[in-house]
Amino acid sequence: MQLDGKTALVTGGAKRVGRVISLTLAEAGANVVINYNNSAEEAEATAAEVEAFGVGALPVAADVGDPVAVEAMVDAAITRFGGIDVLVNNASTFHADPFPTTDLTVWNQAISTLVNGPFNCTNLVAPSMLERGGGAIVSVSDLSAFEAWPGYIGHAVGKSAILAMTRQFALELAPTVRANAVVFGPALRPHDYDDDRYQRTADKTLLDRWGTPEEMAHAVKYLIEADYVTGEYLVIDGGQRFGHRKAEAG
Amino acid sequence: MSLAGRAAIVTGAARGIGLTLARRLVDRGMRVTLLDRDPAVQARAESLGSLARGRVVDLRDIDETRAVAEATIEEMDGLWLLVNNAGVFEKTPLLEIDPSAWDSMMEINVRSMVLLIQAAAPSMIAGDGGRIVNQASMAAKLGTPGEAHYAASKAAVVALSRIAAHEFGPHQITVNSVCPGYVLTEMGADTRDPRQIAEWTATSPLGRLATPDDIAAAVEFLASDEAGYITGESLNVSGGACTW
Repeated sequence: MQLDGKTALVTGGAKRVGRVISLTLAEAGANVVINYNNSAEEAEATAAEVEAFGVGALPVAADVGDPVAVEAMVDAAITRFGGIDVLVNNASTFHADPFPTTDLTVWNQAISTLVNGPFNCTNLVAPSMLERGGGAIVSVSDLSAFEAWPGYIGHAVGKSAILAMTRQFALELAPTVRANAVVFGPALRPHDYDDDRYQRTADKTLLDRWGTPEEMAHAVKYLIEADYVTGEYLVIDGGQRFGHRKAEAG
Repeated sequence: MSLAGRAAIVTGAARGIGLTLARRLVDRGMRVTLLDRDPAVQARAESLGSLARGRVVDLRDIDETRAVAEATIEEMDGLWLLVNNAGVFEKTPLLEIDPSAWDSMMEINVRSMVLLIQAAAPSMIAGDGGRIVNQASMAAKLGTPGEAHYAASKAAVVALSRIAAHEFGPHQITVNSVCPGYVLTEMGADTRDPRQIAEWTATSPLGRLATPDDIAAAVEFLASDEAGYITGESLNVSGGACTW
């Protein structure tokens, strides 16, 4: 699929890597529906950046875990642009979640955003894609889909579910709609990383460096355009998942 | 950033996926050397214009492969992209695979990639990094009866790519493999049994076979600057036939 003239919905598309995904799709000629939950100010700023590429931007608030809110968002997008061709399930939470625990807040939040979110959005966007006779879905996972992260059980389960949903979407919506996942490695320094931890993360990758949001966004763009790739996950991690014995390489 | 002006080698480039890829890279402004054992590679390269040239090489021959690879890299004054595309396919039940047929499959499908990587990586290390893309197959992960030697050779390509990614990573050289599903080349369209094409088509939820350009597009993506954080991966281009 060529992005020029199409319409894309990017969940969590206002800030961080989601913002760069929005801009990358806009640069390729797509109108962008910028979903956000709490980041209204960032969404307005990103919308202005999107419009600077000469395409339409529509910031819409919605908690992706809430099907009523998602339906209203999808309706607004279709009213404005006539339909949706591309969905990027990017919205994510990232909170530590000690285990065992007596407080289910973090678990429920993670499952709501990472499992119900992509389900709701895809479930409600897919009819427009099927009606238009084409569509591409890219959902964002990370390395916790493959390896346990201490203190992040809800997050890891949610990101794993994204791979399972991707396979289901690909099969159930074929041949009209393709669905793939991206698995991101280190791309943007979290606020609580000191220099030492930042460097240790770089050292775990085969390329000895962090990735960039632009590199993540370009992988999303490739999967939107790759007409024979579906049900697939593409890992953009500098080889980090293969680097677990790197220290022994000498 | 653009690939224009950078140097690439594509093996098995006289026809099919290799030729389609070479044409695509030339269209992006790359200087491309097409390698093939078929002398027709010269004329095919000429047909792509002044950015392409063809060289005949028998990848089974260790000395010849090394000599041609080194001469090519010297002539191109370095290398950004090596695409190890050449490979052979043969279907034989496991109990009937002759050791010489096994060896021959491994020589072309795996050993030739090692020789070309050994020739190419030093110049990438001396330069600004580079890209190595190795043609594997869905057979590396799934495979069908009669493909023991082929599937094993392609699984070896996936593993080889991963370890190369380890060893060359610090030099910003990425190494990945592509795992195509069933591809219908122009030659195949004329020669394949329609019943077989229908069986292959049924393996993809998309309801069609891959075109050579589907595979070439994946290689072009992995060759780009923007894909510089993807390494050690095997990318399925299988129309959903393989999802891991």
